[in-house]
Amino acid sequence: MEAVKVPSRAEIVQHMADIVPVLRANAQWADHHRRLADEAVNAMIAAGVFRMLVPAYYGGYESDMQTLLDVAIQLGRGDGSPAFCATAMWAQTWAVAHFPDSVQDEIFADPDVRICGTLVPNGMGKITKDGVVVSGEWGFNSGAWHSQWKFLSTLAANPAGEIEPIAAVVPMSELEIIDDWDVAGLRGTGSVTTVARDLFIPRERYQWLSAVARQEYDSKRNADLPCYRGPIIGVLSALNTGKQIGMAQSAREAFLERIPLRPVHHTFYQTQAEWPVTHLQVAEADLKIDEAEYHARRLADLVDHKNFSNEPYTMRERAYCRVAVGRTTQLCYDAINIYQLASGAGGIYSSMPIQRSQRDIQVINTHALDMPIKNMELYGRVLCGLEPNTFFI
Amino acid sequence: MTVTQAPPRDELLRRASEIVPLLREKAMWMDENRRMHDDAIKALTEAGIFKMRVPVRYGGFESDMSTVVDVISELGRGDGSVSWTVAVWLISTWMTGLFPDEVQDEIFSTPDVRICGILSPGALVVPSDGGYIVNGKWSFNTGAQQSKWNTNAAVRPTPDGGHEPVMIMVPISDLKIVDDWHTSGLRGSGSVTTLAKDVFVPEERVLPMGPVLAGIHRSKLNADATIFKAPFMPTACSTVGAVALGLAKAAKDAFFERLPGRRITYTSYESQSEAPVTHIEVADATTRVDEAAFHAFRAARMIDDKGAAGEQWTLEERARARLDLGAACQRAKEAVEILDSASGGSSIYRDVPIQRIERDVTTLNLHAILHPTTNLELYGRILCGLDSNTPYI
Repeated sequence: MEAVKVPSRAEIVQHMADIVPVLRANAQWADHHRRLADEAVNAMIAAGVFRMLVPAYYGGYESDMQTLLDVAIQLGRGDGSPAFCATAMWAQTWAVAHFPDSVQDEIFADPDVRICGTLVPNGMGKITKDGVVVSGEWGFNSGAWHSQWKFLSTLAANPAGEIEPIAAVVPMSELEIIDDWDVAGLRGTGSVTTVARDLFIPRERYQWLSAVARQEYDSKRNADLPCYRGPIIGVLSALNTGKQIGMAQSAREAFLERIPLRPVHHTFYQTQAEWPVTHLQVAEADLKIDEAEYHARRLADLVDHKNFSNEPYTMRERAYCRVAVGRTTQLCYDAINIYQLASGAGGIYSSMPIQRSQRDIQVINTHALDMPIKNMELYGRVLCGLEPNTFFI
Repeated sequence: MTVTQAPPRDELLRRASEIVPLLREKAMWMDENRRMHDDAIKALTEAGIFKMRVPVRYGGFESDMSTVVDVISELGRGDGSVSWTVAVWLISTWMTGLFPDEVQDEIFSTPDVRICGILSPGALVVPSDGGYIVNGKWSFNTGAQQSKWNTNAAVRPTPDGGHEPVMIMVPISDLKIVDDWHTSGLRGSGSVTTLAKDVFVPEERVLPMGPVLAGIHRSKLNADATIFKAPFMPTACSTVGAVALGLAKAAKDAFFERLPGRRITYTSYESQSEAPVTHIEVADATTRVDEAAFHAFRAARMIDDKGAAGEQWTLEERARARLDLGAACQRAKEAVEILDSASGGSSIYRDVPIQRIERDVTTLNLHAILHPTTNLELYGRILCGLDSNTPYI
């Protein structure tokens, strides 16, 4: 395996900025066909999107969180759906880097490999002598149509006889796809359901999640690399802030471009740009986008610092990881809604990106990890000195 | 002439922190007596706070903006009126550094001199032999009763028959004080009305504001000092924005101090701290306090960074300094309101700090330069490609 020269942060971000027009050009197609366009995926592969968290040993970038944030913002500027798929796949890629090195040798043989999946446990597994036999259904597999592997979680009886979740990685070719992705937003993600029927997974391709939670990982080669230090909560949270910011920035770009020419119907204002109501709207939205980026940068700084210093997280820091995602999402949701309302009825055509951005951020806002109020509650519990009410912290 | 070693940022912050308990102890007295307590002035003097914006050649510290924001916001944790008054004194002291050097020689010959100031022109100056005769009235003259000098805004006739704004430097002893400071908030700031009746102001104590707003002033010796090269409005905005941050932090302290043992009347909760509603409230308020800090320090850092690099300011950057001020006030007010509302009926007694903090932050948000909506509108105009609708930018 020959090491490839990792591009600088500025170079990586430039590559991503360069593919923004491709993502924009394919956004309506993806929205209509409920999956990513091949052209968009190919551009993302060429730009190195899927290598960001692949170990350098396999030609990946092992990027830090600030760089990933920059990249997610650029992808979000392009289109919400590919940005969402990329950030979801980063999480799975990061998780696979903790599997045994022999498993990684196979999966990362293609450093642009796409791994879809979620952490939500479903179905049941039966532990056998040399693996586990799993049956179940898993929804929300963003980017499944373009993935070679899937990360999944299911329940199984541990050696002590207790039921606990395992995480496994399986080839997509061994799963059945149910095309149920007919949804209100993030339509282009093609987040279809996958089904396993008595699927045998060899021992090396599954982990007990309790071990993962204790940061006991199976990879020897990656054990001391800052990029793969846990806990998962920090990395997963930091990966989940940029796309919203990029989407809001893109809505801002489109809005500011339109208003010098747009009349304000049924008023005496010549253009929307001279309307004081617009001034309040654009300033309010702008400051929310900047505040969202403030939280995202602060979170990325925290996670990078912990990864490089190997310092443990305090409970309050873990809770901040969650609230930073929630607050970033809320602020971007607010900002995009301001632009959408200010765009008037002309903004509702399918060809207008603002209506898609609004549907996409609406859906992100309902995601179990992004939902602002849930994250607020958790952070507030910890601030009030209570124990967290979730394992996911 | 003495040159002192300026204390570093963390040392000044530490000194401010040490004063916080005293300010909290005297807060109710100040609220009741509508002026700052002498013990507070003594402590601030001993801590060197009044030297922070005095030129180094007079024994001052020429502290940078980030240090000023640190100190003023920390004092705000103690008391809003003190924080506000110190902000007014520090910006007026800075303004004094723009006057001719011989004027500064006289004023700064008093160590730790306190100079109050007014931005809104409330008087007319007419030429007289060697200077001007001033007549007028200034309301909201914060700290006037405890100041030696006053920078006052006025207008002077121009050859074309119009008027131009000027700043005049007058000894408080030349003014008549009208004690009309009966207000709902910031009561301890003693922001009384002052009157000038046929007061003579020598020519050197008149500073035209047009050039000051454009970055041109009358001091030769301060011409190359970094802090005096900063533009006036961003400097003033950043100075007073710190008060909002301080009040937001004070509300958080006050809330968490009362939380243990508090119940929620007419509910089955044994303790307010275990109620999920409380968790959402404190998380929501805390993220807003952090956002107020983000705005306060973004503006301060821009002043410091641009000052160090000798960079010019764009119109959008100037507008952003005002946006940051408005946003710091807005987020602080939102945070305080959430925590005030969560503090229940028992919090309305005058000896409970949160009610005073709420009155103070509400008052702060009504100030013509600090008002969030005014600042949003101004920034929004610039974003939409329009001109500024105020010279105060």
